[in-house]
Amino acid sequence: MSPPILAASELVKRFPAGRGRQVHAVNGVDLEIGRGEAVGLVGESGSGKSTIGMLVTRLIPLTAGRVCFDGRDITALPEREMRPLRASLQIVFQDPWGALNPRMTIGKALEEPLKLHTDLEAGARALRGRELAERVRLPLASLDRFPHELSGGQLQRVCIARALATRPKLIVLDEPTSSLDLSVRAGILQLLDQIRRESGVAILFISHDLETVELVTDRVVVLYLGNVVEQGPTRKLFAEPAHPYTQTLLSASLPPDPDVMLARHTAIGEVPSPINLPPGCAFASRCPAAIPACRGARPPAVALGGQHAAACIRIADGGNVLSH
Amino acid sequence: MSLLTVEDLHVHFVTRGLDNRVRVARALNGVSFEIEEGEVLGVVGETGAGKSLTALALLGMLRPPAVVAAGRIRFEGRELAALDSGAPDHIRGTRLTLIPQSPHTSLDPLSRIGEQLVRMQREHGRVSRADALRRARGMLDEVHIPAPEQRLKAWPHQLSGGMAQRVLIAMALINRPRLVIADEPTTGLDVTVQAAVLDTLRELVRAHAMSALIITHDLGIVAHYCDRVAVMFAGSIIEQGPTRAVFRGQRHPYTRALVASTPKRIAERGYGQVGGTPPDLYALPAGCLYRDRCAMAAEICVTTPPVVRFEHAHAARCHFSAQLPPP
Repeated sequence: MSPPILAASELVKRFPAGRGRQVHAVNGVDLEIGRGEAVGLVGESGSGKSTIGMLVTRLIPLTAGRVCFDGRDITALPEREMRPLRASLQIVFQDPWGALNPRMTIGKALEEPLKLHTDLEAGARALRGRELAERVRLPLASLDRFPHELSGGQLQRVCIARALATRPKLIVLDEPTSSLDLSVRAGILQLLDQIRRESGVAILFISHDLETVELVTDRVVVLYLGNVVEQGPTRKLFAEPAHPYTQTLLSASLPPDPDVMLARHTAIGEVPSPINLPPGCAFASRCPAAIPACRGARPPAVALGGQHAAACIRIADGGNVLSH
Repeated sequence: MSLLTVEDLHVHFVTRGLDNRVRVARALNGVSFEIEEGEVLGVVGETGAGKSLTALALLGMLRPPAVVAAGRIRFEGRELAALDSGAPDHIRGTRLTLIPQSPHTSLDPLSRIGEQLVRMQREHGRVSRADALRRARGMLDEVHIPAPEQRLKAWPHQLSGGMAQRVLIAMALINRPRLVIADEPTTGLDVTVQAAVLDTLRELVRAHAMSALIITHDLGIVAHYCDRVAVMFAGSIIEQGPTRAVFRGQRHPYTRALVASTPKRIAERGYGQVGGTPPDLYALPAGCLYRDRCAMAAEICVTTPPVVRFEHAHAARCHFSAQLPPP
């Protein structure tokens, strides 16, 4: 069997916070993505999800841990050797306005990755640029335009087309639809769906939008303060969330249907500071199911069958299930 | 009688191009709606549909190049005169208030929270400092800010996003308004915080028998926090009605497309017809403004603007609203 396209283990990232203090952004995260698999990385602000996206694409250095891409350890690969790999490992960011050079036409922007990663000549590049534009359903007239002349949805299509240009094996999508209107968002999701079916590219979908993650992913990893608290197949995890944090998070979402009764679990207080992380379970300070032992050691992941696992010591006595 | 009645409101942006020719963008094109006592109305629509502009017009906060070209606004039985004069009338700020978007840019970074709450009261009425401070403390308690006594002395930068949004709710409610306008009150907040903030807002609206107008692009917020909903497209309300009625059976193709774009509906029925751009506000076509994106568009949609058709309290601005197939 071929190795997973991405295998990251014990990822740690700390940022300096001045006066010798440190922000503990990512605290020992394991993440594996199979070939062609779509994995969702969910969590609230400060959970470390975007940081993980930048760590696995080697855009920022790791504090500790290991990243293997396509069977190869890239943890300490020098940038010179990293560069050719980037053709297969792409990332798309939330803000398409900031991701494109304002002084470069859309056509040139689409050709740029081909210039960097292929030896196609100018004519062939232009042709491939047009193909890419058609593939993401951009009007061909937009190739001669500049970014400010396009709408947000069109710009995000340009960013996706650029990521696709070099036929990657994994695309990291960091909140790709969060800045877009509802109907425009649906168009982008449909495009991603089509691209996955056509090219078999694997996807790491980073988002705080649980409904979108439920729609587009095969598997979900839930983060809280830089720790994986739960992961599992999307359908199973949404149906039977085991970690009290996942239950809280899912219960807070508002389905667009007035007939769905909300049964909300409320977390106590606010998210603790990532500068002074409490020992033990990071969610213990806000968890309605917490017992003193939760504040002792970091809880190990408990297997729940079928690739589903959650890091909560209360699973043993059934106390993890929040009641209404 | 309704607390607020907006009738045929038109707002234009009047600018001059580089060639010195006057250009007019018709940003609001005849917006009409009412809000009853104690009612929560949700206004939804996509970027540029005119949601926030409607709120600014109600609050008299439009500044050139935006001008009210036509329309009437009646609030508590009185005509709100000189809609864009900018003159303080003390209705806005006391009887009719705003919870703005983006908490951190809406608070004064150089004043403590308590000071801002005191100022909000003394700006609009004769209140002693001590009384105002006492009320400020009570208001922070009402919006569920822990340790309100200490928070009065806090600076805005010391508050989390959720706390700052709660302070803004406190500021909007401290003069006991009859109608509060919340412009995307939870955009940018985490989901767990969003739910808690909206719960607090609803609790206070009910407790003080106020009305609220919630502007949002989130159909989930409308479904669970609004009694009635108005859907905007290209500067007009294309559908409005009781929330449950609108979610059960949309009478306008645009509202249908919006509901069909939610992940939940895509999961059930697959991707529907999506995309399209709103019409150019500088050169609005005759007929129906939605026709270029509409699968049902016919000859009449090109020639004749649709009028609002009512079916009980549920209204849609579409020639074919009665003939739409069941959703």
